[in-house]
Amino acid sequence: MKSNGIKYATGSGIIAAALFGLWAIVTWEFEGEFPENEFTIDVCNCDESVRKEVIENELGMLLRFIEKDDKSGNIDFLVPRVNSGTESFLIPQIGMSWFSMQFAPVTYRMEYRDNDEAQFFNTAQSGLNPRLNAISTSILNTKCDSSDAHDFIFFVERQRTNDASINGMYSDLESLIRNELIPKVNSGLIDAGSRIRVEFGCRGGDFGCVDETACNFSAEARVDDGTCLWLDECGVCGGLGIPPGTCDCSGRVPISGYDCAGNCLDPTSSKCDADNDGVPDAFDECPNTKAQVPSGNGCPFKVELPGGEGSFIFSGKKPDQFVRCKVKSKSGKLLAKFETVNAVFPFDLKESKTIMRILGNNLADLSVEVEFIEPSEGSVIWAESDWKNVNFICRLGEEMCAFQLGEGIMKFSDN
Amino acid sequence: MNSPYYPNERQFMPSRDALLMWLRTRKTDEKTKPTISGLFETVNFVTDAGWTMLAILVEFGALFLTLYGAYGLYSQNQNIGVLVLSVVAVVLFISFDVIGVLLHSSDRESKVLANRELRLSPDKHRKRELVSVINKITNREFFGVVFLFLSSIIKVGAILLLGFSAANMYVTVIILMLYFIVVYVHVYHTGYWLSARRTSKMLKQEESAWSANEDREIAQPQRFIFHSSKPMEKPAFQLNRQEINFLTEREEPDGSKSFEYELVTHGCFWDEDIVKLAGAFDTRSDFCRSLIDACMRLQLIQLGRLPN
Repeated sequence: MKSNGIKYATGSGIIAAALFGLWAIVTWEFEGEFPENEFTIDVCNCDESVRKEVIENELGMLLRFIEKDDKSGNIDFLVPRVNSGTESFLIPQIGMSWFSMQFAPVTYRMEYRDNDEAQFFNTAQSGLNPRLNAISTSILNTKCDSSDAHDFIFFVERQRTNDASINGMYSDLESLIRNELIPKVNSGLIDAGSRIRVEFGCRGGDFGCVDETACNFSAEARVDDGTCLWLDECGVCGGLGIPPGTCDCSGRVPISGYDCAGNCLDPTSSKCDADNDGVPDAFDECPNTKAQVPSGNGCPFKVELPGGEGSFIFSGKKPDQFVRCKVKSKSGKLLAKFETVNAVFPFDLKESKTIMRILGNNLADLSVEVEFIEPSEGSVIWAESDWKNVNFICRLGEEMCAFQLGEGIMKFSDN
Repeated sequence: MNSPYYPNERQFMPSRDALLMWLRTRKTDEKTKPTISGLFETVNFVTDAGWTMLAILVEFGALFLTLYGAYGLYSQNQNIGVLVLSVVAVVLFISFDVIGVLLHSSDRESKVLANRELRLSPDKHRKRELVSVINKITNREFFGVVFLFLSSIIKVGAILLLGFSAANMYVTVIILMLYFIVVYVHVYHTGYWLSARRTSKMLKQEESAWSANEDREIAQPQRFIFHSSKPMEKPAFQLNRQEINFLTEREEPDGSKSFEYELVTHGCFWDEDIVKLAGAFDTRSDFCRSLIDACMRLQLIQLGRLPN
């Protein structure tokens, strides 16, 4: 049966070759440079307790994040489980799911978390100190610049209270594995089913503000990340200055109705009454002098006889308000009553003649009561009755008659 | 497939092709049971069918895992190539399975006939040739097994790459062993089951066509003259569809006597007919041995392998 032997040998060879091909395909792992910076993730959905949709959703979130132009920020996703008794690296690993991304200048910072870190870091914590203060594995582009070099190596930062010797840079995956710096699922370093956080962005001081004029200038930063800040007018770094609605950096707010300088914002408002006489500043002819009552023009109501002789001058009334002058005899008998809207009484020759016609040419020891009248209501706004011993004289050669102060005697000038 | 393999077995004679196809079905194992080196029988059909169904179930497992896994991957990465790959893998492993089973069982009738000839041939040189033919792995058998193994490896690869991508080494070995067992089932059971199905179908179809034909031809009885050194001790014997008729008695030159008989069969001479016929006589007698020899030759005549 010589031909049978040949067939056995040939068949065995064919089957062995096929098995080798199968083994090669299943265990093939990419080594060397990533073509076009491709990044592979192998996720096993071997745990029936985690639904496939959940894994797909988690992975979808990660991939959407990876595809972002701006890689800053972080993302959480579920650590996949693998079969019992096996170990599997989270990244990088062979698989059928291929995803493209650019490495430089991105940093991959991986931080393994759970509600209780001690639960899945127990193996790593064996030794004097049962707990790790922090553990993290970072993979980054050490240049951390925007060049197209894509020269990325692994950087590992792992803080341990009793052993910091393993901190440093690692350029190959094997050394990472050897130092147990990339946790394996089910290896005791990290539990399947935990959540893994991947943070993207340059590590620490690599990114920052490189503008020396900025108040947050970082001497260690090599790449400007657009976070430079400057002092505002209040001296705050990156502040917004005096807040709107306030008068200064202390936050003082102006009095209601006034600006920060004390200027009344609405002069017609009753709030804008500087002399507090009830007359808004817009209508107050004497804004700094308090009038007796608010019904006038804002100036104090006043009756004057300048130089003690001449016409009475009335102050404080509005142009439309009129003045009523009651002229009485010494005994108090009302002799005449005059009303005028003018601020001077007598105002002119005509008025002077009218007074003269009623009172006579010369009259002594009169008393004059003055009332300021509101025309619309006819009510007395303000009154003054202090004028006693008032004479009314009409001199020869003078057109206008005048009132004169003098007790018991009329004074006539020499001419 | 149990007898009666078809109705009207006395009047109806199956075609030569159907009889040759019948040779591919499973026969009684000569190593564990004394037999006549069967031609027209089918044994252990239910066992073969059971194993075949199990294998098909496992095959469906591969089909499901491959397509479902590929769909899952496609959902993740929208890569149509994954779906194409899975369909190609499925088509390949199904095709290889079918081709493998058919190839492996296609040379079986020649070995069955060689085995029958080995029993009848007095020539030692010819016997050696026949043993060589029986033991030789034919090209069809060889490539049939190779196709079946390739199919199993494609299945395992498709499952590991598409349906079960995170399987570890233990799982891989288990899956591989499972599909190698499927290869064994295809080689030692599926081929027999498939041949029995095809034979049964052919026989029933032919018989139905024969029955439906109003001008159907009644199968002529086939006869074979044989000699025995011992008499049958009866002038004639009939059992079911077979008859044995005494013809003459002769005296040989050495003084011994030779008895001539005629063996007649109506319809196809099934293996179980031989067993029943031989059972009517003393199986240790010289007449019985001559009778069995005559029966086996008459079967070969019905197959056209010996002249009538």
